[in-house]
Amino acid sequence: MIFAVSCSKEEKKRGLDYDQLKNELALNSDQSSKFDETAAKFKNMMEENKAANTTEGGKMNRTAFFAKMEEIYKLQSAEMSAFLDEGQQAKYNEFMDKNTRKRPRYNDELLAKIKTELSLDQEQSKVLEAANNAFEKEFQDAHDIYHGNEELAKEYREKFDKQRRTAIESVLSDEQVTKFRELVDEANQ
Amino acid sequence: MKFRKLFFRKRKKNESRFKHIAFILHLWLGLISSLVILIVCLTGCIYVFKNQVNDFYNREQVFVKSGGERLPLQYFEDQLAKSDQQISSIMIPKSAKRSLVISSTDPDSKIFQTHFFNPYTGKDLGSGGSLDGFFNTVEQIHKNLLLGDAGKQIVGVFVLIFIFLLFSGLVLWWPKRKKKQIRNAFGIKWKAKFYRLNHDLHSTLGFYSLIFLLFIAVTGVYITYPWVKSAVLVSLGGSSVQEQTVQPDDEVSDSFAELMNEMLKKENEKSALSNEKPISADSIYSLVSKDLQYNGTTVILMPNENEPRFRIQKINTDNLLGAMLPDLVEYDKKGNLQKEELFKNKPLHQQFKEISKPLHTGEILGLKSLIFYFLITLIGFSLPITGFIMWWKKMK
Repeated sequence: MIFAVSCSKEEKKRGLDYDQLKNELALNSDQSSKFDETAAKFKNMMEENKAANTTEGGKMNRTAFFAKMEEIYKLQSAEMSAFLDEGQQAKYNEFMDKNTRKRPRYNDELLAKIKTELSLDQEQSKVLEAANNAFEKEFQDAHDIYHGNEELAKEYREKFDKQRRTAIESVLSDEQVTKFRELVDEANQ
Repeated sequence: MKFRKLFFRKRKKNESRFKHIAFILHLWLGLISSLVILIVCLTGCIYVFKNQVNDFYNREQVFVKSGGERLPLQYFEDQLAKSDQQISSIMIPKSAKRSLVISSTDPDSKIFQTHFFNPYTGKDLGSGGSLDGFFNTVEQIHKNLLLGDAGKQIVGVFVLIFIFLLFSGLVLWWPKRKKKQIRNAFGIKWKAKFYRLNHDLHSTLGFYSLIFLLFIAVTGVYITYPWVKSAVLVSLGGSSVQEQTVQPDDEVSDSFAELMNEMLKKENEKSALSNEKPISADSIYSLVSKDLQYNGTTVILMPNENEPRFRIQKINTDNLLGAMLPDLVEYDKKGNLQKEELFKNKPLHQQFKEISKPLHTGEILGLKSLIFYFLITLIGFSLPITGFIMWWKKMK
């Protein structure tokens, strides 16, 4: 998923509720205790991430917070894969995809795909990265404006996404633009 | 007949129609909104001291005995390097009695940790615990009564009613030009019988807290309603949050173009300085202290593979009221200043956006405003109770 989730949905997802997931995964006792241990470890890490990015009187660096949060979820997934079978891992990934906040940007997989399939040169890659980072920063900086309002968050996201695409497409050939739009629209589905 | 007396009274002799209507509306709207206002004020009261309660809960980690010079930050970089940890951020507190907060990552496993450190002895004080679960619940009750989007709208409507009640209450409080009435309006007769004391607690405390409760309520609905946000920001010289400028398909806005330039600059720095070892945390701290010459809590985010710069936030309390105003600066790995965003240089509407939440929660001036906000919201919590008692007396 590319798009960020606005705060009204985020509030429901604060502190993941794994009980339903654990039932679906049908874990044995060994897996269940490892699952709880891993979940607790990374929940702690998430709280430490929040503490690291929050200062009394200061402004939370949402870009840094979300970047670290994404890393933490990846680490958690890797540790879970050590004791979940393939089917269980797929269900876990689906649950996490549906219930966790995402960084508002094209993720690393999509960026790599765009660079490869469009055969971007160094300068074009820089523009791609820069536009993606600018989109993320602009959207995070506008958080105080759309906070708690899904409709407004969506409007701002679409506005900034249009800017991002315009900036990227300005350095692409017509063929590359077509392919770029295909890849991004496919990722959005 | 009695039912009619509970919710309606005839206009008094010499009472204006305006004041009579204000009374009826104050009574009805007060009764309807009392429970929600009570809950919102009570949860606000509790939430005010969230950081202080967390600090007390983690007092072994958070507070240290100040003793001479702080150790250089290099000491902590070296200590953490021994256990293969790379520092990702450091929080250096303004107060000499608080510990450093250092986040670090193992570059191989990417495991991340945040620990408190004694800045004088270098001792690792551990990570401490968190009462965020409890305070998150309190916050959710405060914002939406644990009813999601519907609850948010309910709270919003009742806070708007509360704002009306503050003004209708002012109308009812307004004394006539008689010495005794004026004296009664501004004072509380502590030795009076219960119902008289109750009346004074409602009326007089309501008057004294009016402007502050109004401020807290407005900053609260500012966060909730885009139209309030737009009204406030437009009045401060900004633009409406709901007017989205439509750019032609082949153009980017000025603000996005500016961000693009900044991000392109960073991409160029990433390649140009990829092999450059960043300057030490002590060096960057010295640079910040030289460029921002005030004592303030400083948070340094170190460069990493995706972010080529030191990003520093320093809280400036060097003003008349000691308000906590954040300044942001960025340096490249060599220590050259690349960006400076000082709070004082921002336009008024942007400044308001930055501090709207601390203005609502009372954090803006630190402990003194927190205590003040606690007392004000406690009064806010008491108003539905004393108001209800006044009405209840009529029922008996």
